[in-house]
Amino acid sequence: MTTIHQRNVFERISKDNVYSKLVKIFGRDYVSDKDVDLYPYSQDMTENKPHMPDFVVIPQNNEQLIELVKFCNEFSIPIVPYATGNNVGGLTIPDYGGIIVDFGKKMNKILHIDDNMMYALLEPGVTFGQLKKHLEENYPQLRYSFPNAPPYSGVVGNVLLSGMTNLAAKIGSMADSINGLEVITADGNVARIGSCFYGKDKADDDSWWCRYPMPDLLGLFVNFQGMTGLVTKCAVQLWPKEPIEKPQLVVFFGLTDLAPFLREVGRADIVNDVAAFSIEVAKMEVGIPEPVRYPEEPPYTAVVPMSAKTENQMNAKLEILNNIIEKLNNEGTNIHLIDYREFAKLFNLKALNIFNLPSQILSLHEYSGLTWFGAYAPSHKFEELIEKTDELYRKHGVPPFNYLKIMKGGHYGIFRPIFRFKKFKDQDKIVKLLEEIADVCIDLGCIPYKTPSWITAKLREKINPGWLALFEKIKDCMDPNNIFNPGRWNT
Amino acid sequence: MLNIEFPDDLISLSLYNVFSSRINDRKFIKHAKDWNKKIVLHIEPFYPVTVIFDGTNIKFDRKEDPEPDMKVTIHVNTMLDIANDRLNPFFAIEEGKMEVDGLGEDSEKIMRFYNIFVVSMQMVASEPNVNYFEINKDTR
Repeated sequence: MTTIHQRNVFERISKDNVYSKLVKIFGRDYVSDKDVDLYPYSQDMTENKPHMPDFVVIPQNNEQLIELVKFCNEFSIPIVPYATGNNVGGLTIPDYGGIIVDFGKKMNKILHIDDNMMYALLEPGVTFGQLKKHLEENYPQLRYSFPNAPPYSGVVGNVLLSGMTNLAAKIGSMADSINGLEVITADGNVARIGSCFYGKDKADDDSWWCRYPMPDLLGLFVNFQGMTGLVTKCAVQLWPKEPIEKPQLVVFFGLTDLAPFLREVGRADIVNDVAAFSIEVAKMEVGIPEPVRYPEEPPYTAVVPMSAKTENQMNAKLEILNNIIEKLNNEGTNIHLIDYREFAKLFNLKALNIFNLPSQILSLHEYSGLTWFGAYAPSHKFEELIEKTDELYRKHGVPPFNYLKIMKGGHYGIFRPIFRFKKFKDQDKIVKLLEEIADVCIDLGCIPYKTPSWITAKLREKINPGWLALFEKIKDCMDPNNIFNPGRWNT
Repeated sequence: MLNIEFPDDLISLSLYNVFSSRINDRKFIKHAKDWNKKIVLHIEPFYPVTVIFDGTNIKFDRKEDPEPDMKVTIHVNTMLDIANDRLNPFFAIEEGKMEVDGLGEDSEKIMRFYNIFVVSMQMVASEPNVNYFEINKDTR
């Protein structure tokens, strides 16, 4: 783990004066410096070290935020954007103190749904549950791509951090389907990026329809973990909701049978997603405290959401899926296909949680701690990743909770070992395992996302110097006084 | 009242879910109580499980008992066809899609097996068991 060298936030202005300024900007009811209010922002479920912020503010509009950013930039005061705090990377823990900007309370509106060009314009505090409900009630013909996350987690944070979706096999990560952003940069400038860039003061709601073909400035904000500016609006693509849905359950009786299946089905263009997970995850979902895999059980299963416009199209897709499985089984795998909804009714309805997203998997969150090594992965290394991490889980006596996906037509994969743990009791053991798994996965070419700074420190040892120099240059240019979420990526 | 042991393997968990949905159903209790039989259920491509009916207890053993009172072998997709009323269980036996050893001419055994296994699966398939919200106090 890396050590954080503290900086004196109030070197150039007293804390009392900062408080007075914040009250002036946001109003007394929307600013706090009380420990009881700050404490929830000081930590999350992960192993990352807690740190108290100095203030929390609840913004309601851009004017307040522009004034805040200019003020903080003048006095080098850290600003940490916060929506719902559900990430598993310690990303909103204010490592250097400063001001938490909580978007979740007031800046949480769905500003526009464009039925014609299929996008949603969102404020940073909108949650997945809120967006799903809004679409189901008002635009049942449209859907969003939801992650395996609780309904109370934030959309925009997940989008900006390249989170997963249940359309991942088709469209890739959430960041791949951003149409545009509105951001406030360190100098207080408000920039609109994407097709919404026309117009001096304001963009029309129906102008957020595309990301290209101008120079793609989105890259200055995507995956930067809030280090380059405050995102105040985000337009995300929606998708037509197909009327026929037949999710499938695939069971794999060989430890690595899953790997060729993911590669083959990814490029077949027939499934929305493949949410594959170790059998221990399935058992955990139905409430078994310490799940064990018995030798006769399949080590992996996968939920495969499939949708179509007609029954004929669905049958054709299922035929292709069956052919893939038959071909792989002829080559030596032992893979079987079952109707997922029907099986879940007999097995346990809780199993549907992995399909009906967003959802809260209670047994994953019931411990006090939760962490992961969520990584983009080269799909030709899936076998090695499964085998090597399986050995590490066994060595540490921890049930393997692995999630895998194939992304964007099979172009790349996702490999995510996840760990629930009891804080203060078995955290050290889990962190040791996590560190060993991180080393193995990084050696095999995995690139973690939503990454805590102790893992980005490991990455920095392996990243080419040219990339690091360019990254530092961009960070310095965008945020010369290092006020935006300092400490992320070891800045 | 019946006691159904909470298992921790995939197939026994499914059977637990099916049986526990009828734990207060008089008809189910009448058939399951004091049956005192060991039934092996092999849902392919999974593994065989022995369901032990012992007085008021129902237990699961994720092994095939060497001397069961009855053994049923069925593919999971055939089982889902029966549970969802797409296939009559007696036709499934006739067509060789469900193999039953040890049934003999014992009409009571046929009746009990049909009610405990087949009817329960059909009931859960049409009206799923939602009585699964249990707080795991050990992990809090």
